[in-house]
Amino acid sequence: MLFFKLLNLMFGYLHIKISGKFPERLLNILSQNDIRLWNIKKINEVYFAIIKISDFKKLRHFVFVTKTKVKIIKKSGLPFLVYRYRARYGILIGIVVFIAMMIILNIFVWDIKVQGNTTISKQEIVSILEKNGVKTPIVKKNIDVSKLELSLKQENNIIIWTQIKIEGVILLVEIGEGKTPPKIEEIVYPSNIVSDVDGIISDIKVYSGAQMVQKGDVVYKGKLLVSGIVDAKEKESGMIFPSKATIYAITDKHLSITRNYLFNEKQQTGKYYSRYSLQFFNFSVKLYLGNKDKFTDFEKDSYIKPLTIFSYETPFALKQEITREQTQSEFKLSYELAKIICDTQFIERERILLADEDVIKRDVSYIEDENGITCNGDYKISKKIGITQNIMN
Amino acid sequence: MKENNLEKIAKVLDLPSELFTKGAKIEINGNTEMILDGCKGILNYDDTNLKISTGNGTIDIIGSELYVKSFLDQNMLISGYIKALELNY
Repeated sequence: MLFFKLLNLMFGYLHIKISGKFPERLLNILSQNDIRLWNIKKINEVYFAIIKISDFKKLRHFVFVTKTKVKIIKKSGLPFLVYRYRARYGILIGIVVFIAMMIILNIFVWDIKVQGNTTISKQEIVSILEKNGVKTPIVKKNIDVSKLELSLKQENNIIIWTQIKIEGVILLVEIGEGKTPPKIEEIVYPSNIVSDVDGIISDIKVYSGAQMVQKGDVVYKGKLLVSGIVDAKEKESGMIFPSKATIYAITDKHLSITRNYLFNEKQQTGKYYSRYSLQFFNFSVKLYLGNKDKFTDFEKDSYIKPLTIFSYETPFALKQEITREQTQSEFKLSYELAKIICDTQFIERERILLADEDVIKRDVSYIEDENGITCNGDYKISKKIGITQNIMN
Repeated sequence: MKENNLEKIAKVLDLPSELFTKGAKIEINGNTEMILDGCKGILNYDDTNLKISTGNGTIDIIGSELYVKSFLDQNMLISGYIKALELNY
């Protein structure tokens, strides 16, 4: 029924009043002649009904035959509304511009949505798409979905299946992830293992090749640890193999942080001003006058806010550029404060430096002089050493 | 009312009678809506009484706030509170 109501609203309908001697006769004749009346009501010997505009034009003959009177009491629907506002060109232009904008905006894909990803980030997927020339906004017909699906699978081994769909103005990328296959490092060429660091051997297990060093031996960078020539002592009759071994050594690491008592720092004065510009693709329209900066020493920050309609990004963006005034000041730290700052920086650097290391011993010392304070860290760490070298090269 | 030959055959062969019956087909939803198929014309229209011709008889619909919601090509949709139906054949 809702569909018929919408149709009636679109094509327009009339509320009519039927009076005369035999209005029932008119109703019967109209029904037999495929002229539909609805909502027929009788109030005080007068009939009220609704009729389509096109059917109303056919009424004249039947009204004359039945000697009844038909009067329009109300006009409803879109045709009457359009007729009422026919002189208002602004509305018409607005509607045309709106429809044109909708059509133009629908030509492009404005956003990329990624579904099904757990280990791969959306950014990675988007960057692969960008490599293949898909960068929003992009014309829909320029997107080769099957080519994109193939390149996604080729460029990332974790992706086992993909489905790319264009839904409205969104490019929907659905992916399925598999497990990364373990890397099998099989060295098939004859090789030696040499040290890549200076240190003391703490553990050595040789699976293939001739062991050249013992536990407790001091090694330096480039020293032969495991030889691929099995009978290395008798080189002329030795057999060559790919060397395999797990070797651990204790090595040294050093970290030093210095904090001077005197230092220069730029401080913001609190004065700032903002400038806005409207961006459309690569075009930018300044929303301010003049280009001169008001401050001599300043720092600039800019933010781009895409303009959205119902959470969909439009090609327009508002760029805000904030210029903050700053001055350079010289400070002198007290010993206590310098030590705290030095400590904090040292711990932070130490955390990054030794993130994946197995620390056996840690020594931290402080050295003070008239300029500042230095924090020194000496570490003994146990780590896996050894790099493979091809004998044949 | 006498049965015609076609109606008799339909009865013997156990066929749906609506295929051969000349009268109207009435469908009532609750007591608020009635669909009448085979309506030849309105004889009397009132919001309490509706008399409809079916060609070989008349149907009297008695109720309150009765009105014809739609009327086209022998199909009539009647709305309102229907209290009684009287078939005159």
